[in-house]
Parts: sequence; C-alpha cells; structure tokens
Amino acid sequence: MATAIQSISTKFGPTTVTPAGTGQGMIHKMANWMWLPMIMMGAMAIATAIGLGIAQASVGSDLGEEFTALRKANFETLKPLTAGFLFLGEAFLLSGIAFLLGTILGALRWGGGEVQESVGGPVKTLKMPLSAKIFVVLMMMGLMLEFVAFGTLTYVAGQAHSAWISATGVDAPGNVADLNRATAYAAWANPLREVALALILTSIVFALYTISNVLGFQFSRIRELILGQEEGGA
Amino acid sequence: MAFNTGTLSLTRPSAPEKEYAKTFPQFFVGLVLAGAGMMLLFVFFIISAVVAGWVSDQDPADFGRILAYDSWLFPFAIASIAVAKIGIAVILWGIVRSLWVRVASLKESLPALIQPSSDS
Repeated sequence: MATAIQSISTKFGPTTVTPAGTGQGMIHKMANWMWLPMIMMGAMAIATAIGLGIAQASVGSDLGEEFTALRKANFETLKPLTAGFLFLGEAFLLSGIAFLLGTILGALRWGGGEVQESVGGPVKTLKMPLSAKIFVVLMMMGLMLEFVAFGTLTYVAGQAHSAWISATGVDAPGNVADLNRATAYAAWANPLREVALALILTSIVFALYTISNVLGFQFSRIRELILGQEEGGA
Repeated sequence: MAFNTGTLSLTRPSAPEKEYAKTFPQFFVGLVLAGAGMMLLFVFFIISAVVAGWVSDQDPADFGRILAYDSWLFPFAIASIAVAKIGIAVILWGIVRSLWVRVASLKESLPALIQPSSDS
C-alpha cells in the first residue's frame, strides 16, 4: 500500500495524493469475496421457500377435502416459514447486488490508480466518501434486520403449530394464547422484513450515488492528466 | 502492482483484456433472466386473477383449491422477481468486467494523449 504524501480537497471530496495506487480497501476485498455467496444463498433460500410453498399447497388441498387438526397445524406452520425463507432470500439477493456495486467501486478505485500510474504522475484517490459509509451501514443493518425477521417468523411458525395441533375446527384453535402470540409476533415481523428490504434498497441508492461521484472524479482526473492542468489545492 | 489475485478472478479478467470492443455474455444472460422473470410473473398474475374469480364465487367446494393455489402462487411470484434480480446481478458482473477492459484500454492509450505541462 502506497503512503499518502498529501491530502487535497476537490469538488468531488477529500482526496489523497500518493506516488502509487492505493489498491483496494478491506471493504472492497470483502465485496469481491461476498457477492457470489450472497446470490447463491439467496437462490437457495428462495428454492427452499418454493418447496415449502408446494408442501403448503398440498396440505391446503387436503385440508379443503377434510379437516384434521394436524393438517391445519401444518398449514399454519408452513405459512410463516415460507414467507420467512422468501424474504430472507430476497435480502440475500439484494445484498449480493449491493456487494457487486461495492466491487464496482473497488474496480474504479484500483483501476483508476493503475491508469494514473501508467502515465507516471502522482495518483489521486478519493477518500471514502460519507455516502459510501452510509451504503455499508444501511446494507448491514438491512441484512441483520432480515435475520431478526426470519428468526421471528420461525418462532411464529412454532407458536402457530402448538396453537392449531389440538384444534377442533377450522376456526377453533386448541390453544388461543399461542395463537394470539403468533398473531402478535407476525404482526410486526412481516412489516420488519419489508423495512429490512427497504434499508438494503436505500443502501443501493447510496452505492449508485457514490459510483456517480467517483466516475465524475475520474473523468475530471483524466482531463487533468491529458491537459496537464492540476485541480485542487493542498 | 500484481495484476490479479485468485479472489478477483470472477470480476477481473485473469489476463489484460485486449479486445476493447468485446461484449461480455453477462449482458445477454442478464437481459434473458430479467425478461424470463417478468414473463413468469405475468403468468402467475393471470393465474392469480383466476383464483380471485374462485374467491368471489364463494363456493365452499373451492375452499381447498383456493388454499392450495394461494400457497404456491406467492412463493413462485416472489421467485420470479428474484430471477429478475439475478438478471440485475449478472449485468452488474458484466459491468465490473467491462470496467477492467476500460482500465486496460486507458492504460494503453492515455500516455499517448498526455501533453507536456506548461511548467515542465
């Protein structure tokens, strides 16, 4: 890693000037590692949800033919589990997309340094802007909240099973307290999973904003190199 | 600086790309996935409209059928959106690889464009 020789201010944000490129930061390396596993885990979670949905459809069809407490309990158990796996998968996929955007930022940083090195001049690199920090924080928060929502929906599934396993009719649960608990937890877990997805989507907005800023900086830097007119002061 | 590391082999070509006008297959695959996701979603939307008709009929005989269709339609519809999202991811993957082609292109052409600065 090159040593920073000075910091300057540009209209795109604080910038370091080093004799050689700074390569990629830890967060870029993490993005390079994580985007594919995230997408694969997302696909697997959604495939699991499809399997659970098909099982739920089969139980639902049987339940329509003849009511049994076990069928009703299984149906009500599979419902929150399917939703939990579905939205966990969605969160993994969106996180994979966010990590890919991080990979793009890393490529711009590393590649920008290499291009500047190729002409033999000092290498100017934008310091990590606030928008990039917000991007990382929002993405992590969104993923963590989605894990919480998934855990809660799993709990709801357990409560729903114990509520309906001794049911005497389609609308007569065996354990009303468990049913109320399941309903209460589901009431906030379902919006929570949407909030989590919204946070990840907002993080993607910040990542795209950061990319547009970095591209502007690089176009400006290429112009500086070609015309020999340095911008920004020490 | 080392050109590549094992961790980056999927996003950065293992050798400097010289075919600067190359179109990466990721762009085509991404579009196909996004289109397929949207088409599947449209099919599930039509099936949902049929199920809505059964619900409005209020025929007790349809109870099991409605439960069954509702149960599988939801995950399949969300999975269709997921296919489109994977399409987005694949196109972004292509963009990362294109960026490295752009870097190689600039490294080759930029030194020839540089004018001596007025103070040198």
